[in-house]
Amino acid sequence: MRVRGLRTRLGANQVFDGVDLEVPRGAVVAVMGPSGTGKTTLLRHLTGQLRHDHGEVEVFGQRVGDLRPQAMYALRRRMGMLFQHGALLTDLDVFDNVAFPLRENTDLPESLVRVVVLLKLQAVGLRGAARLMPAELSGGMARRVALARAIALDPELVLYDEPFVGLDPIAVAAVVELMRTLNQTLGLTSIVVAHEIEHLRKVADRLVVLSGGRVVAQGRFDEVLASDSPMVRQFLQGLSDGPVPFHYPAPSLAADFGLEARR
Amino acid sequence: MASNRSFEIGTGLFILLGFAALAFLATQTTSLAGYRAGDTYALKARFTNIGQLRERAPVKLAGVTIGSVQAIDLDPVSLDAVVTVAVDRRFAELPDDSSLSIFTSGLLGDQFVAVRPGGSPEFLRDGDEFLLTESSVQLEELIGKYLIGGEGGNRPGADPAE
Amino acid sequence: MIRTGTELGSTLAGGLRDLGRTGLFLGRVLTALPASLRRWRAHVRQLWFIGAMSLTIIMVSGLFVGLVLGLQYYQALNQFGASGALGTLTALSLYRELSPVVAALLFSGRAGTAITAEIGLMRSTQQIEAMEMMAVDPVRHVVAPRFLAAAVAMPLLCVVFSAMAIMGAHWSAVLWLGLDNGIYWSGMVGSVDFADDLLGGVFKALVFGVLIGVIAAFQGFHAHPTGEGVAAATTRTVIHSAIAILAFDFVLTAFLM
Repeated sequence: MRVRGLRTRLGANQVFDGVDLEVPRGAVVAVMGPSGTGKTTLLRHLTGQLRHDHGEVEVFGQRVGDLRPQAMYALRRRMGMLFQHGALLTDLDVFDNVAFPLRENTDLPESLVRVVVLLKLQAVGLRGAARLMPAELSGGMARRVALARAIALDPELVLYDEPFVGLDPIAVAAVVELMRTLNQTLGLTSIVVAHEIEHLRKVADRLVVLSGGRVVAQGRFDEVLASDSPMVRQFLQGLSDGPVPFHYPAPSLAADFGLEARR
Repeated sequence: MASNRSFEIGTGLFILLGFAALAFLATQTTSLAGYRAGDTYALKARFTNIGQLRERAPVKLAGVTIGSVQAIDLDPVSLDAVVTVAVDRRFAELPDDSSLSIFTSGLLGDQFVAVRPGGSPEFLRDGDEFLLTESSVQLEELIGKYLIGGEGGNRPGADPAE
Repeated sequence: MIRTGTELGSTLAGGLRDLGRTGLFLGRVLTALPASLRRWRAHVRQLWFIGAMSLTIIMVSGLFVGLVLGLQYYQALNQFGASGALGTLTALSLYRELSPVVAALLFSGRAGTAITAEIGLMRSTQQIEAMEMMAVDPVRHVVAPRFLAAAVAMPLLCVVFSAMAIMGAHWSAVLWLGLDNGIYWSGMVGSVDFADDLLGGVFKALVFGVLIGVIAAFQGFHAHPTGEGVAAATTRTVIHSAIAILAFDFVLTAFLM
C-alpha cells in the first residue's frame, strides 16, 4: 500500500499538502498526529470513501482514485475497518452484525455462516454474547464485536480508527491483545490511527507522524520515537507549546483589548 | 427473532384493513354501489333532448332505484338521443306501455330517469324500446317561458313580427 | 433590507439545490429498489413501523375531521335547504382533497420525521459508513425499504382516513343533527365516481407517499453527523414535505382531476 504526493482540500481547509507514505505487506503501522491533521481522512482515502485532489493512493496495487464503484466494492471486501465507536448496526443483534458482511457479500449457506460467525466471536471472546443487542454491550465489548465483524471476511488489510478511545484499561488490554494475536496468526497488514503511545508500542512495528498536512517522520517505531525532530519530540512528550503552538493564530492581546489604539 | 412473525402478521392485518376500508367506501359511497353486473336487462328509449343526463345516472320507479343509464347515443338518421338503461332483473315485469321521463332531483341536483308504469298485461323484454318518453325539462327554457309568457299575458296583441 | 434580500436569495438557491439533489437521490433509490426486494422481510418490518404505527393518529384525526365536516356542512347547507347534498359534499371533499392532503401532512410528521431521525442517527454513529466499508450499498439496504414502505403505506392510510371521516360525518350529521340516513348515503352513491374521485385521491396519496419517503430519507442520509445536524434535518423534513405535498396537490388537481 502506497501513498504519493497526496493533496486534499476540504472546504477552505487544506488537509493534506503532499503526503508520501508506504506500508509494507504484513506490517502494523501506527499513524499519529495532533487532532485535526486528517488521520481519519487518510483512512477514508484508502477506502475510497473520500476522493483526493492530487497525487495517488494505491492499495493492493490498484489506484483507488480511478476505481469505478463496482471495483471499489470489490476492493473493500479485502479490507476490514474498525470504527471509532464500533458502528454496530443497532437493529441487529451481535450474531447478525458479524454475519452481515458474510450474508451480503457471499453465497455461503446459513449453516456455514453460523460456523464462521461463532469462530470469529470465539476469537474475540464473545461467543456467549451472540444474542445480545448492541445497546446491551459495554464500550469494550462493542469494539470487540466490531473487530469480529471487521475480520469476518478474512481481510488482508485492517484499518483501526482510534480503537482505544473511551475504553477502560482492561478493555484496552483486551483490544491490544486481540490486535496482536490477529496480526501474528493471520498475517494481516494493519493501519492504526491512535494517540496512545504506550498501547501502540505493544502492537505497531512502524510509526508515521502527521502534522500540518505533511508526514513529519516515518520509519521503525523505536527509531521514530528516538528521533530528535522538534515536532516529534513535542508530540511524543506531550508538551503544550512548541512547533505546534498553544495559541490559535490571533492578533496580539493588546490589540484585542484596544490598548494599542489608545496609544 | 421470534417477533419477526408477529411483525409480519401485523403488517398483513394493516394491508387488509386498508383494502377493507377501500371496499367499504367503494360499495357504500360510490357509483359502484349501483352496479349489479350480470343480473340486469337492457331497455332503450328515444328522447328529443336529454339535458344534462349522464351515464350511470339512476333509473327510478316510484322513487326507488331499479337500474342505471348504461349508454347514451345519437341516432344519426332521426337525430334523436338513444338512451340505453340497465334494469335489475328483480323488476322484470314492467308493462310495455310504461313511459320514461328525465327529471332533476331537487332544483339544481343531478338528473335521473323515471319510469311511470303503464297498465298493459304485456311486459317489456331485453332490448325492447319504451314508446312513450318525455324529454328533459330545461330549467333555462322554463324560466324563459315564464318571463316571456308573463309579458305576453299583459299585452295579448303584441306580436314577434313587429 | 439588502441583507434580508441576499438571505432570501441564498435560501432560495439552497432550496433549489436541495430540490435537485433530492431528485437525483430519488433516481438512486429507484435503481436500488429492485435488488432490495430480495430481502422482503426488511420491507415488511418497515411497513409495520412506518405504516401500521401511523394508524392511530390517522384514524383518530380522520374521525374528528369527519365529525367537523358533518357539523359545518350541515350548518351551511341547511341555510339553503340543501342538506340533502351533505353526503355528496362530504365524500367528494374528502376523497379528492382532504384525505390525501391531511393524511400526508400527518404522515410526514409521524413517519417522515422518524425515517429522518433513524437514518440520521445511523449516519452519525457511522453505521452508514460501516455498511459502505462492508461493500454494502446503504441506499439499497437502509433507504429502499423505508422509501417503499412510505409509498405503500400512504394510499392505505388515506383510504382508512376517508372511511373514518365518512363515519364521523355520519355520526354528527345523521345521528346528532337528524339528517336522514338514506339521503346521506344515497347522495354519495349517485354522484361519487369510484375511479375519478376515490381512486384519483388514492393516486394522490401514492404520490405524496413517494415524496415524503424520498424527502425524509434524503434528509436523514445527508444529515450532518451530529445531534444538531439530525435535529435540523428532521425539521427540514417536515417543512419540505409540507411544501412538496401542497405544491404537488395543486399540480395533480390541475392536470388530473
